[in-house]
Amino acid sequence: MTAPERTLDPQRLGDHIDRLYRAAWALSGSRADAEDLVQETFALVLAKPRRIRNQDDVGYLLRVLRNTFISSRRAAAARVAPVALDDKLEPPDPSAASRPEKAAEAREVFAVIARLPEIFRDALVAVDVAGLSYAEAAELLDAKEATITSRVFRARAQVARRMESPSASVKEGRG
Amino acid sequence: MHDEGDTPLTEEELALARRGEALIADAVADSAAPQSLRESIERERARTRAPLWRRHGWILAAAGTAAAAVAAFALVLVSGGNDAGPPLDEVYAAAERAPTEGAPAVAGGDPPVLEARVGAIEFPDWQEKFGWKAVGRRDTELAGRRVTTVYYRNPDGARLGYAVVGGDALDEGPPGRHVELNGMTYKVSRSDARTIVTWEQQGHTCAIVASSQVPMSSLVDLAASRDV
Repeated sequence: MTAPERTLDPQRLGDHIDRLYRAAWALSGSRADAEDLVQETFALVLAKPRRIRNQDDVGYLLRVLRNTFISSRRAAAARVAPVALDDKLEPPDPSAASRPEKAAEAREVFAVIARLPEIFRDALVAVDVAGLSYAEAAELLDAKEATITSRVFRARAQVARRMESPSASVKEGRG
Repeated sequence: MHDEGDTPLTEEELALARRGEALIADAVADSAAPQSLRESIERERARTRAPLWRRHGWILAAAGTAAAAVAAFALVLVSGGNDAGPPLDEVYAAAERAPTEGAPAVAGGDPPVLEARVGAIEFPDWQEKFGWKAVGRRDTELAGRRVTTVYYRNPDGARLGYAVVGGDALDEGPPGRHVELNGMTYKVSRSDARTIVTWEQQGHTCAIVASSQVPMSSLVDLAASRDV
């Protein structure tokens, strides 16, 4: 039986900005890129009424965000001389003023996630960062739920290894 | 190709995974979207939360299309074909969107410019003199006009969009108050979330849009720095 279609309610999209922003940060590794990515995602979604099926709002938004991210990466790779944004040009982090150590650690964690192999990164972002269930992540990433579970656990282990030993390389597969 | 699901995790890997999960949970708890992003999205939502006749224009406008077309054609004949161009609000919204391309290359010169232009207007390289580094570009089609925006960031992380509308200057009078500088007139407006400077240069409508954290005087200085 097919789930009924419904229209995405623009009034409720504002509730999801934080989750989308964190997911964008973990995908891109940069807060400036994350802001751009979220803004672009909302501009696309708000441009016309959206009919969705089988997904909650965050799942749908994360799909658009991920596609936007992939497109932007492809476009960047096609450019002859992409200009990287200097670290010092990152937007100010409001949370850094009150808890600088926590903010620094969060930056490092998101940067580590962004450098994971794509299949692990995407599973981790969907489940641990955006808060989707394993089943929702499996649908988003077109994989079996058991595969997503395995990827998430291995990705978590890789994040811990990298954070505890920054010089360790992020290994593919079993890591 | 490896199959990442084949082999069970060892005890050591499970312990690592638990530590990783805790680290990620802390990072998620300690991060939130900046207020400027929320405001920008809310403006986008408000802009697209148009009346029914705008959101579903093809239904409701169909009845009036023929009459409007006749009227528009008559107007074009009378006015010599000069189109009105996009509303300024849409130009400002384009200047706030995310870039779709990397920053234009630096072309040098005095004053230094980038390899991006609209007609005779070259986009400036403001990095050395003002500290604003070009970080991206976007070309947007609005009401049949191309709006080219170059985005800059300063060392504090603030971003601005400098948009130039292709074709003749827009008829719509920009909002805000007049500021006269070096013989040019700039219209400046400010809200809680953003500061806008709009002016006409070499026959084009130009606008700089930045977050309200950027002083209005800085934006006017940037606008007035153009060698015209």
